[in-house]
Amino acid sequence: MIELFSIFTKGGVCLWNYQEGDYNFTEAINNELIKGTLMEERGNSGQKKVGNYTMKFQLDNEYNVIFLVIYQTIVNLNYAEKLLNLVVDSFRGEFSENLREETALTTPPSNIYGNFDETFHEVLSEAAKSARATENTVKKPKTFQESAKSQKTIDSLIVSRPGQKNAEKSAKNAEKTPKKPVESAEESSATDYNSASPPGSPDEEVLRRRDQMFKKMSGNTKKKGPEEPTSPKPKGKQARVWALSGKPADVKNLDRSDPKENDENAADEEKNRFVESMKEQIGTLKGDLKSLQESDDEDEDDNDQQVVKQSGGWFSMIKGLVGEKKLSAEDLNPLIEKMRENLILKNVASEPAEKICQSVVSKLEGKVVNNFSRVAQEVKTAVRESLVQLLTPKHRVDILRDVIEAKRDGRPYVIVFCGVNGVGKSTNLAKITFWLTENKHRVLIAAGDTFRAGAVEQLRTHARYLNDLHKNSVLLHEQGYGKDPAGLAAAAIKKAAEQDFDVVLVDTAGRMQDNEPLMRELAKLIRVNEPDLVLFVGEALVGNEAVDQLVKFNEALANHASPGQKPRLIDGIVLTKFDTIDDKVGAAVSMTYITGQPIVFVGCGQTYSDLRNLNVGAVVHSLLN
Amino acid sequence: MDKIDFNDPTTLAVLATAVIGLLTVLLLVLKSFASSNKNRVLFVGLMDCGKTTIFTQLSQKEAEYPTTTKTYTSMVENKITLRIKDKEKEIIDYPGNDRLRQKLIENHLHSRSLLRIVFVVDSAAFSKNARDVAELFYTVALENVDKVPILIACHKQDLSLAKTEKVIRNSLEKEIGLINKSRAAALIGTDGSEEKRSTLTDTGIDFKWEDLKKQEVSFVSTSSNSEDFGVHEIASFVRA
Repeated sequence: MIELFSIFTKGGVCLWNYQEGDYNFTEAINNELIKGTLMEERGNSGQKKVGNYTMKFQLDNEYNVIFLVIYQTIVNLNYAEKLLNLVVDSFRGEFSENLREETALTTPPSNIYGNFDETFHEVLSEAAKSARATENTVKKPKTFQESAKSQKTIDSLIVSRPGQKNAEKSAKNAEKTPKKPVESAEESSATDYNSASPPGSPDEEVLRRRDQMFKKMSGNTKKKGPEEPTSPKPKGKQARVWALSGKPADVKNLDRSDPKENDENAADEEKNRFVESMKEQIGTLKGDLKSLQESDDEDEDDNDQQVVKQSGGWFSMIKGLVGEKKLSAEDLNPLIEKMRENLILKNVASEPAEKICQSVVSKLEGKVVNNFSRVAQEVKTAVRESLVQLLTPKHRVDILRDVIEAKRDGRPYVIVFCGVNGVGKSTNLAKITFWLTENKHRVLIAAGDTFRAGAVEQLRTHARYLNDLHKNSVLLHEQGYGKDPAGLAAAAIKKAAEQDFDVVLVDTAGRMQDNEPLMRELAKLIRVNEPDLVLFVGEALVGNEAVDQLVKFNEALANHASPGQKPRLIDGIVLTKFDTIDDKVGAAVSMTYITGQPIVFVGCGQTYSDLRNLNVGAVVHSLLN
Repeated sequence: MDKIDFNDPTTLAVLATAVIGLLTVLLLVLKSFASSNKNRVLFVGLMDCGKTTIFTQLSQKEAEYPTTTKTYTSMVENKITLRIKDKEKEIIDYPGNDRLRQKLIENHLHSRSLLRIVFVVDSAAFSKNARDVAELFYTVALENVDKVPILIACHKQDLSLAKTEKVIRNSLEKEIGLINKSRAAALIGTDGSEEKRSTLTDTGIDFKWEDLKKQEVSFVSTSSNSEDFGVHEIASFVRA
């Protein structure tokens, strides 16, 4: 069932591995998980689907270790998360010293962690058993259902009395909060059932009241959700009460469900399934909470050991005396909330701001820092690093070099400009043309905007001016208005190849992201002409709209790609009107986050020389002050 | 007398101030010691070219062939301090991810503690990555303020697709010349400074390795899986 279970450090060293089958997951882990998710500040979900497989992972920020389990998606390994938690606890407990000292760097990991095989199999069978136990409890109602068919009246009377007793017990024990919504809902249902039982009552009334009952149950369950976090605090008491009262409560609950099932209809069956799934979820939450408590205990022991070992040097002694603390969500959330508001104030779209902050929390949670460090400073440093990392291009961007490469291949380098209306596509196309001609490249401009009045004349004017600046360097290829932009671009590329132009810049009409026919037209242009670079032109003034624009542009390009081929999405961003925003530079973060692609050019004025590279350090500095 | 002194808030304040002052002096002394020592050896290269594997092999007392340590793409740097000839050296394996390039420049290439650089090249994937390799080498050589020696390790020589050391040397020379040209023509940044970006040499597209006068660059062929190549030359370079 489990294809691979791997434990490796953030530094890339694989500590321990368990694999069934021969499939090599290394490339998938490197590309999809590490490069595509964790390095892109999208790692807070804990899950990733790649082809036919699902990856579930958990970050341990204290020792900088990643726990990863891979299984086939169709298997739907429902205890994967529980398995991860159990393995995290076992592995940390067993090898905490080696993890802290990073022994794997100096000794082959198999020599240190090879013994974990036995522990892993024990944990695996334990998790599988508990999963089967959960499944087995689902089967029991049938047995009771069959045996109780001929004794409806007597069973219903018996059921009501134990329910009342359970209510009294639950009032005394606060630890039973998770189960309370189910019991209270069933009590109300029992009352309704009794009151609705006068002889000769029509079936419709019964159905209505059952609908009300199910609504109450679901409503109560949702309302009780926020109370869950309180339950980990009284850990000792919770464990005892659960052990004492678990089994009888389960049996009685099953008894209470018999009469309803006898009268079930199709709709009722579906709702019962819903209730059962809710019960399973309740159990899941319990497991998670318990593991958190256990990890707290272990950390206390670790701290004691650390103090002893750190007494070797003077500085270490001082550190040991000062003590250390472990960052928790309670420490981080107020600070990260302020950081999120600050980012939104600087014009970062709300969705990227939220996700970046959550990613920072998932990185810092559980990290051990000494009390010299202020938590606020730690948070700010982490956010700064995340933003710098996000804005730094993830691949080399050197258009001049790539133009030379394309020329060597005997073809022109093709750039397509796309974007919504009024962001400055043609203006910045002219600036880029000027930059290319400054570097001795001959440029053919394709007037692909065959819709907007004056678009061709605008480009004709630019071409004339640019030719005056650098003789014989720019040519405009136009076919007037109303023509097909894809065909026009193809003709331009052919012409450029024949006449030895180095670069073809394809202008397109502006279009709103919701305009389906125009988006399809753009996808066709890109599909037919296979450009080297697809640049999305967006203005720096954009706010939350950036998310919608870029998501839908990429969606259109993906949906209308050639069947079976990998879709060609946006390759880079041109950020325009940068001179109008002062320090509210958040649009850069929004666009980079949504596409994962770099900002290749920044336009900051009207003249041809107002074209810049994005300075990552300066942008991040503006965002965080 | 003693009792009165300890209860006196002025006395406590004086004692606290003295302790804080001593701690501050101690910290400053420790900091100056740390910063004046040149002891760092930095491993850089593109992603998935074998830096972490080389790093673990060097860190072990006896390098094993073929290596049994399995590695994935690094997300954070690996760091270890080795005592070599009564001198402590800090070996750093820095990830090759482009996203972390900025931190590489700020934390390591601009550092005065840097002693040597090992630049790892994946010989098998060099054909398609030549431009990326050259770009990274250019950044490393340009931003390194102390102009420390650089060893270019043509790694993964055990694979059949691996390019030889000579081919890599010549290709890199051409690529760096082209980058010289495009860097000179690059746009200025958005931080408002009017300064053009500096280039590695003044020879532009006609770059030769000999043009790097202050910086010593050498090439070796290495492999983590084959003992014939091994990582011996890297070990010698690091330990020198």
